[in-house]
Amino acid sequence: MNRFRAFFWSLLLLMAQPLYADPPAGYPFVHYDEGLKRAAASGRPIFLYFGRYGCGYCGKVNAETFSSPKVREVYTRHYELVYLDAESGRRIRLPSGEWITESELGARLNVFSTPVFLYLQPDGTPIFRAPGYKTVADLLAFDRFIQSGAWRRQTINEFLEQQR
Amino acid sequence: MRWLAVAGGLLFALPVMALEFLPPRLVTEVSASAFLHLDGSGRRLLAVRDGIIAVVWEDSRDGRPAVRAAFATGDGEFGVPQRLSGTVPAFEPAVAPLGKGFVACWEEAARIHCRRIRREGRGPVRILGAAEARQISLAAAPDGTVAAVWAERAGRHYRIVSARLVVDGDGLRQRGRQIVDATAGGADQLYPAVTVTRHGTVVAWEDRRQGATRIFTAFAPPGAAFGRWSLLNDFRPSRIRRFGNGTGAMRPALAGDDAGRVSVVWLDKRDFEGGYDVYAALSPDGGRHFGHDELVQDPLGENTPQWHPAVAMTPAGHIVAAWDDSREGTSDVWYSERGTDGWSDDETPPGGEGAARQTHPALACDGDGSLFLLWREEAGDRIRLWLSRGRVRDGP
Repeated sequence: MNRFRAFFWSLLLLMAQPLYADPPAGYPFVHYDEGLKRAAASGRPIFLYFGRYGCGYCGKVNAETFSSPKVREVYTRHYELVYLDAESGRRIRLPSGEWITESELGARLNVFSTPVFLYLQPDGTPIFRAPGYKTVADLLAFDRFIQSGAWRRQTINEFLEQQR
Repeated sequence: MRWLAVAGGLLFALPVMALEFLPPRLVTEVSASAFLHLDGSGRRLLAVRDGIIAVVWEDSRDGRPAVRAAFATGDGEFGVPQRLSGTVPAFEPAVAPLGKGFVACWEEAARIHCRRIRREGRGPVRILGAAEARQISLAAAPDGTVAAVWAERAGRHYRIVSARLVVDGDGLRQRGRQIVDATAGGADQLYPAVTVTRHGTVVAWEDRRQGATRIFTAFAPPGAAFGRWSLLNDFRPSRIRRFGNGTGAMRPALAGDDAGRVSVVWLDKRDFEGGYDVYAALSPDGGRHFGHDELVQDPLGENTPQWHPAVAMTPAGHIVAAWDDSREGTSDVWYSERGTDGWSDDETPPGGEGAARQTHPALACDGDGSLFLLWREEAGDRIRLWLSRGRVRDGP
């Protein structure tokens, strides 16, 4: 009986854990097309999160970084949030009018390891990309880089060096 | 031990090859103000029947994405493209030999549309099923029919459906529709590929039931239902399993030969630092069983992600895989042959490399053992499709 109970609780525990990576909870991430439409209307830059189904580091960054109330407050206020699955066949429409799949956009942008975060101008023009796991401090520094307009005159590495 | 025996038996049966591709010929081109894509589940984008080559693709030369086909005889020039799809955007076509011509299928208005095509004209469109569907792939079967597989929505998720397409007057008839695997439950099954040999039909697809995208296969003997699924790819569990279920695999492609051997290739991220690699597995019995996973690309491609894998087998069993990667700075088309000692060093076909972006290869072979390699080139203000014919010769 005890063995059955242990198995039951183990099963429940397993089911309670995230089985795959999705956009972090509590953020208004939308489809690419909708995000571009919203950015065109709001004039806000786009924060594009390239994840992958089953991606461990996406789950880790969701749990450890996007859980920060400060990150949530800043990113929800400053960006149109877009989530893409690097293996998905879901179709998106680029600012040029071209229809391609989310995975095809990943191939063009050389997104071969997830997560990858891209910051885009409201018209979809890339500003810079930040691949891999990021901390709360990283995401807040990237936000300062974008919101201050520093990206127009220096690289992210120059900006971060200056901030030290 | 059984797997060792299977793989070993196949290894010894593979002949030594020397493959040469001829300079390519133009299939079609559009200006860069239009878009042209060479995408489709299983990458069945060209087919050869009785010396006639049929190529299908999607482009927006008249303003919105439409599926088109072009034909060539032997080594002749390709004719004017025919529009196959209707007035709404259409995507991701596939083509296979059928009857005295071909059958082409594609996604249009979230349904699978098919029609017979020949240089002389097109048959009526047949829509496969009433449910939302996408990602059609095709394969000619030894009995003269064409096997079709696609992803069809059932509730919140997609599942893989299989049917046979047969000639019906000028049109098509669908028969033997079945769900390939009904056990996925609350998970998507996507991007199927299919091949048919004298042993039966094998389908490979992306399956998400295990919390990461993995490649599953199922086999059906002639005239019978599909058996239980098998997991094809080895996978590496996430180093931080609490947060994810491991590295992904995607986009399987299949081919078979006259002896009933089957090869499958797919993209695999088990060594994720270098992005996706091309992996392959071989089956001596039509896809009922597969041997161990094999890395296809050579060490020079190790640190570069590979994309868009395709595979073909000649009737005699020569296996060629193709893909694109940017190991030399810009995207080029690469191929490798499977010989007795494993996969060969990677090569590029004439015209498949250079400053332009050469991507999205697709492969097919004819009954005489000729191989055909198709790819997309983006150069300046033009997007072109090129086709190169290759010939396999026995011997060192």
